Amino acid sequence: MKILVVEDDENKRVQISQFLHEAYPQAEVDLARSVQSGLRNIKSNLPTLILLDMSLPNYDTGPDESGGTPHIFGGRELLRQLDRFDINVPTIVITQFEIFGKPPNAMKLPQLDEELRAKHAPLYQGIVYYHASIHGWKDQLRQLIDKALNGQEGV
Amino acid sequence: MAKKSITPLDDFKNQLRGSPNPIRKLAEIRQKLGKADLIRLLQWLPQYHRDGRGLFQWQFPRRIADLRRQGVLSAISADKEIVWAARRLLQNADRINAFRVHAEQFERELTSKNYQNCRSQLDELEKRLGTSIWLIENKISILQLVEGIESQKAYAVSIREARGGNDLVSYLAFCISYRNENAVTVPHYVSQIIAAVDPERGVNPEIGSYVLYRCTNRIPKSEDEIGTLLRYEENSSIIDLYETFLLLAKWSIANPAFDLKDIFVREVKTLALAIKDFRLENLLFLGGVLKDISGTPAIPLDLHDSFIAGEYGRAVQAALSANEICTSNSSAWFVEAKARAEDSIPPRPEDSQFSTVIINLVRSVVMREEDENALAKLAKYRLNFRLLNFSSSLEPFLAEASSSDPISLGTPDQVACFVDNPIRVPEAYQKLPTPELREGYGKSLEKAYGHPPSLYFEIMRSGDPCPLPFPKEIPTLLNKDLLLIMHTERELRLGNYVQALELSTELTKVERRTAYWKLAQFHAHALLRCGRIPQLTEFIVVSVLKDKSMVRNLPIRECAEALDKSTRRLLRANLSTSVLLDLYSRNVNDSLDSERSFAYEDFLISNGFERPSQLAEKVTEFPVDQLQYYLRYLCTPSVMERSGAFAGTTEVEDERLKVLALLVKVDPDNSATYSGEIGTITRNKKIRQGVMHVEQSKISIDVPALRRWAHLNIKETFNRYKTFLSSGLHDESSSATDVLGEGAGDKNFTREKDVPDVPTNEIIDVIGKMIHSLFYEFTTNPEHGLDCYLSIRIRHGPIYGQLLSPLEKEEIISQRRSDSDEYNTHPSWTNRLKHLDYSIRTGLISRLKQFSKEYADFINRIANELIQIKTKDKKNGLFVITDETGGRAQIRGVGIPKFATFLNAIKADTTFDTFLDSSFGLFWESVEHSLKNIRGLIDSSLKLELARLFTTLETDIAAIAGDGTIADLNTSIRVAKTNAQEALDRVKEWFRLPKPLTAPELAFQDLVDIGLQMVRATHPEFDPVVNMDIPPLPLIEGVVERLFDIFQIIFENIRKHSGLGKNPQVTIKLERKGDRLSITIENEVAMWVRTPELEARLETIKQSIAKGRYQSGVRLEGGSGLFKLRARVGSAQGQPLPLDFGFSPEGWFFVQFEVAIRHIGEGEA
Repeated sequence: MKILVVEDDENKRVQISQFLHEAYPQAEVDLARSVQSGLRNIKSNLPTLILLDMSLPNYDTGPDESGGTPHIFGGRELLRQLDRFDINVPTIVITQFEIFGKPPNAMKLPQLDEELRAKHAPLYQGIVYYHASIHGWKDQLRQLIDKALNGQEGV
Repeated sequence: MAKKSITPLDDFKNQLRGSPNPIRKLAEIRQKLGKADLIRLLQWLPQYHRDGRGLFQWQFPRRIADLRRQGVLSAISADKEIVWAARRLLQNADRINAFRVHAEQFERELTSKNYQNCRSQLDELEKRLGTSIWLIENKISILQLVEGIESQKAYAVSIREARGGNDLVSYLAFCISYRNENAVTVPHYVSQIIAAVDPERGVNPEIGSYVLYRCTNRIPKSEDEIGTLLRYEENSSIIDLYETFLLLAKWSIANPAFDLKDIFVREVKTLALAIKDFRLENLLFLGGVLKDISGTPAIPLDLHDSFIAGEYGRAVQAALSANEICTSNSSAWFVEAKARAEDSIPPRPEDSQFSTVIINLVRSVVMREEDENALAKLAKYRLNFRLLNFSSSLEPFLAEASSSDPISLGTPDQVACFVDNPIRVPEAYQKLPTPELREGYGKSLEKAYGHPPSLYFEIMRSGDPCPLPFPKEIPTLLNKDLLLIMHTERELRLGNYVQALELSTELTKVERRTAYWKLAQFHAHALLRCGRIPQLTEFIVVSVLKDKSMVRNLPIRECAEALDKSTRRLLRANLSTSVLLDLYSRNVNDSLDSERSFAYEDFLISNGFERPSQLAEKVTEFPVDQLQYYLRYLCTPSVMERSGAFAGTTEVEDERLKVLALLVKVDPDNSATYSGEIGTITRNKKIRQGVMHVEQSKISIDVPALRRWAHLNIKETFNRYKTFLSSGLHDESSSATDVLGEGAGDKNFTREKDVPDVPTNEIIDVIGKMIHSLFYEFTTNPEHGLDCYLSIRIRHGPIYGQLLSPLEKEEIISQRRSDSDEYNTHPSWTNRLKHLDYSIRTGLISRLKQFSKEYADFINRIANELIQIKTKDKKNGLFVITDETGGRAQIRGVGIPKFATFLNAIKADTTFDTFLDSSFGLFWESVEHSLKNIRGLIDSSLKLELARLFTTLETDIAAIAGDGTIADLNTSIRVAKTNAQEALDRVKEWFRLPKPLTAPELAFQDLVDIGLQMVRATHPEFDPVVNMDIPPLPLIEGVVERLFDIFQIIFENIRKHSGLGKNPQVTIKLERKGDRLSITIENEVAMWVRTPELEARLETIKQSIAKGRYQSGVRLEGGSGLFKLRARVGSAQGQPLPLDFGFSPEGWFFVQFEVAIRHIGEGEA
C-alpha cells in the first residue's frame, strides 16, 4: 500500500508520517510539498491513497524557488487535476484551518466539505481537521483511511 | 347589571396608558395582536397622550439630533408590518401629500439645473416636516453635485456632531457621503459596505440589512427582511417610512418569490384614496386593481416615431421640444441619446441641464465610446439619486447595457422604472411582467396615441399577440434594421430559436453598428438556447476578438459554464475554448480558472506540443487573432504554472520570454508592448539574481580588502618564514599541532602572564602567529571580516524581517512598548474578537502579548547569542574558527593532517598570494564546519522550539476561548506558523558557503532596486516613491555588493524611522567624481520624527564615527545602522571615504557618501 502525503507544513508532515508509520506499518509513505510535485508523484507512482493538505504552494519552495502562486484551495486544485486526468485515487483532505479565505469570500470547513463531496465524489473521502496539540484528528483520520481502504488496514 | 367585558385590545390600551415606557409596551403589544386589532389599536393611538405628547412624536423630528431616537420595535410578521406601516402612513396622509409636492418640485428643479431652488425646496421641507434620512441623503448628493466634496463632507461631519458620536444615523451619513465622492465607484463601494456590515464582524444582521438597503439600494432577499426594513423605518421620519414602503411595494409586487403582493396591493389601494402620488396608481395598475391607466399624462410621440423610422435628426429635434415641456421625462432622455448615437449626432452642449449630463452619458454608452467610464458614472448617479424617480429609469438601461440576456421582461428593475414614470410611453410596455398587464397598457396607449409605429414596434418585439388594429402599411414605416431586430426578438421571445437563428444570420448585412451588436446578441442567445455550445464558443470568441465591446452583451458566462468536461474534451484542439474561458475569467469571475488552465494545456497537448513556444513551428495553422490572444493572455505565468510542463517558476518565466519573442513576430502591431514586457521581465530577473546573489552571499568576507590588509601586515612575517625555510633553520619534525599551539594565545584566548613568552622555537612562533593573526582578521575585522557580514546581512535586520514578517502579516505579533518591556495590544484583534465575552477577549489578547514577547526573545537569542563569533563575551556563539582545547589551539573543522599538508605546501619559492589563496581555502573549510553545526542546530533544536512556541500558544488559546468562536484567530496563528517554519528554513539556507558567483553587472538603478527589494522581501507593504536623478553611467562593477548592503541599510532605516508608513518619498542623486560616485539619498520624514533628542543622538553617532569607534559599534545590533553604514562605505588610500547624514534645511533626512568604483584593490582597507 502506497500512501502519498501532500503537505507543505513540515511539522504537520512529520506528525502525519509518524501516525501512518505507527498505524499502518506496512504502508509505504511518500511525501510531496506542493500541488505540482504532488501531481507528478501521483501520475508516476499512482498511490493507493492520498492525504492532501488544502492550502499549498504551486511548486516546492526552496532557496531558488518561491513556490509560485500560493493556493488557498491548492488541495481542491489537485482534486480538479485528478478529475481532469481521470485518476481515481481515494483522497482525504487534512487541514488545520477552519476558515479559508477572507470575508466576504471566506469558506468554512463544512461548506468546503460539502463542495468537495458534490464535485469530487467518490474520489474525495472526507476532511479531517488537524490540530497539533489535540489527538482527535488521528482517530478521525484512521476511520477515514480504513473506510477508504474497505476496513482492511486498521490496526 | 352585567359588567361590560374588557376585550384584549382594551386591556392593551390600559397597559399602554399605565406603562412608564409606552414604546416598549407598544412593541410588546404589537406582537400579541392580529391584523384587525393592530388596525384598531392604530386608530386609537392618536388619542394617546402622555405629558401632553403623542406616542409617535418622533415621526417629524425637528433636529438631526432627534431623528431615530426611539428603540426599534420588536419583530412581527412581514404582512402585519405592512398593514401597520400603511395605516400609520394613512394617518399622516396630509403631511405626506405636502412632502410629495416638495419632492417632485425638488426633482424638477434638479433636472432643470436650478440648483439653488433645489436647496430651497429641501430647506422648506425640513422647516415644514422636520428632518429625515431622505433629506440627508438628497442633501449630501446635491451638495456634492453643486459645491463639491468639502461641502458635503462638512455636512456629514455636522450630522455626526449633532448626534453626539457614532450611531446609525451618523454611520448612514458617513456611508452616503463616501458614496458620493467622485473617486468612488459603485462596485467597489458596494463590496466595501457589504464587508463592513458582515455579521462575521459582529454586526447585527438587521442593522446590516438596513444599511445595505439604504446605502446600496439592495433589494431584500426575503419576506422577513421586508418586515425588518419597515420596522427599522418605523423609528424614523414618516417620510422615510413612506418612501421605503413604496420601494418595498414595488419590489414585492414585481417579485413572484415574495408572497406579499396581495397585502401590499390592498394597502396601496387604501393609501391611494388619501395620498396623491402617481406611483400609487401605477402600483395599482401593476397589482391588477386598475385595468386602465388612462389617467397618466401622455406626450407627443414625434420623438419615438421618428426614432423608429430611422429619422434620427428629427427625433433629436422632437426630443428638445419635449424636454421644454417636461424636463424630468426621463424616457425622452433615452430616446434622444439613442437617436444621437445612431446617427453620430454630437452630444448636447455641456453646461445646460442636469438631464444633459445623463443624455450625453447614455449616448456614450450606446455608441460604446469610453463606455466603461460612462457606465460607471451613470451607475453613480443611479445610486446617489436613488430616491428620485428619474434614477429608476437608469437601472434597466444599465442592466441592458451590461447584460447578455436580450429578452428579459418585467424584471424588478423594469417594474420599478414603470412605477416611477409619470408619463405614458410605448417603451414602458416592455417593462410590464405579464401579457395581461401589457395588453391593458397597450389599450391605454391606444386611447392616448392611436396606432403609432413606436407602439407597433414594442408590441411586436414583445412576442405578444397584437391586440390592436394597426394599419397594414405600418411595417413599411420602420427602419429596416429595426424591423429585422423586431422580428428576431419576437421569434426569440416566442421560443422559436431556430427561426431566430436564421434571421440573426443576416447580421452581417445590417448598416448600423448598433443593429449589428443587437443581432449578434440575439444570434448568440439563439445558439445558446439551441444548445449549440461549440458554435457558440467560436461565435463569441470571433466576435469579441473583432470588437472588444461585444464582451458585455454576449453570453460568456452561460457558454463557459456549459463547457463541461466532455465538451471541453471534444473542443480541446480549438484555441477558442481556452480563449472563451479566459474571457470568463476576466469578465465574470475566477471560478473557472482551473478549467482555463486545463484548456490552455489541452490545446497544446492535442496539437502535439508541450510548451507554447513550440507553436512557432505551426503559427500559420491557427486563426491569427485567436493565436495572438492565446499567446498574449493565456500563455502567462499565472496560467502556465498550473501545467505540468514546468518544474518551477524560473522555467515558467523563461517560457513567457520565449512566448513574447514569438508574439513580436506574430503580432507586430503590438511589438512595443511585448518588447516592454520582455524588458520588464528581464530587469526583474536581473534584480532577482541580484537579490539571490546577496541572499547566497550572507556568509562572506571582503577578500580583496583582506588581501590588501595581509600585504600590509603579514607579508613581512611571511618573508621571514620563507627565509627560515631556505636557510635550513626549519625543523621538519615540528608538527602542525606545534604551529597551532604557538599562535593560540594572541587574540581570542589571552593567557595571563607577567611577561611575554620567549618563543621556544622561533620558526614555529613566526608561522603560528602569522596564521592566527590572519584568521583573526578574516573572522573579526569590523569592515571586511566575517563578523561584519554576519552583522549587516543577518543580524541587523534580515533575520528579524524574515522571522517576524509572517507573524506581522497575520497580525499575531505586536510591537514592544518604547517605555517598558511590555508589548502592545494589536488593535486589530480587539475589534476582531469583540463578539466574545470581555474576559475571554482580554485573556486571548493578553496571551498574544505574552506570545509576542516569547517570539521576540526567540529571535533575539538567535541573533544576539547564536549567530555570533564565539568569544569570551559570546560564549554561545556558533561560529568557532579558532579554538583552544586542552591547552592547544586548533582551527575548527580542519584536521591536523590537512593543516600539515597546508604547512608543507609552503616552500621557499611560494608566493605570498599563493599562501593567501591557501589560507582563504582553509578558512572557508573551517567556516563550513560552523555552518554545518548551525544548520544542524536549526533542524534539531530551533525548529522544534519554534513549533513548541506555536503549539503552546494554540493550546492556551483553545483553553481560554472555551466555546467561543475563534476560527479567525486560529487561522491566523496556523498560517503564521507554517510561514514562520518556511522562513526559518530560508534562514537555514543563509548558512551556506557563498557560491562562486561573481556579482552581476548592473545599472545603478538596478542596485537601488535590489536594496529596496531586499527590504520588501520581508515587508512587502513598504513601497516608497523613489525619484532618481542619475546621469548616464556605464554598468557598475566592483562595488555591487557594497552598494547592495548600503541601499538595504538605508531603505530599512527609512522603513523603520521615517514615521510615514508605506509610501514615503525618497530622492536619490548621483554625481560622478572621477573614480568615485557621490551619492545623496534623501527621504521625507514625519514632522514628529525630528526632535532635539534625535538630533543630539545623531551628533553623538557622528562623533563616535569620527573617532573611529564605529568599529566596535558595528557589532551592536538594532539601532540606526549608521555604524554599519560607515563600515560599508569603507575607505580609499587609507582614508575613510566621506559619509554625512542628518536633516536637510527642508526637514528631510539625508545620507551622503562616496564610493570608489575603480581600482578596487587600492580603494579598500
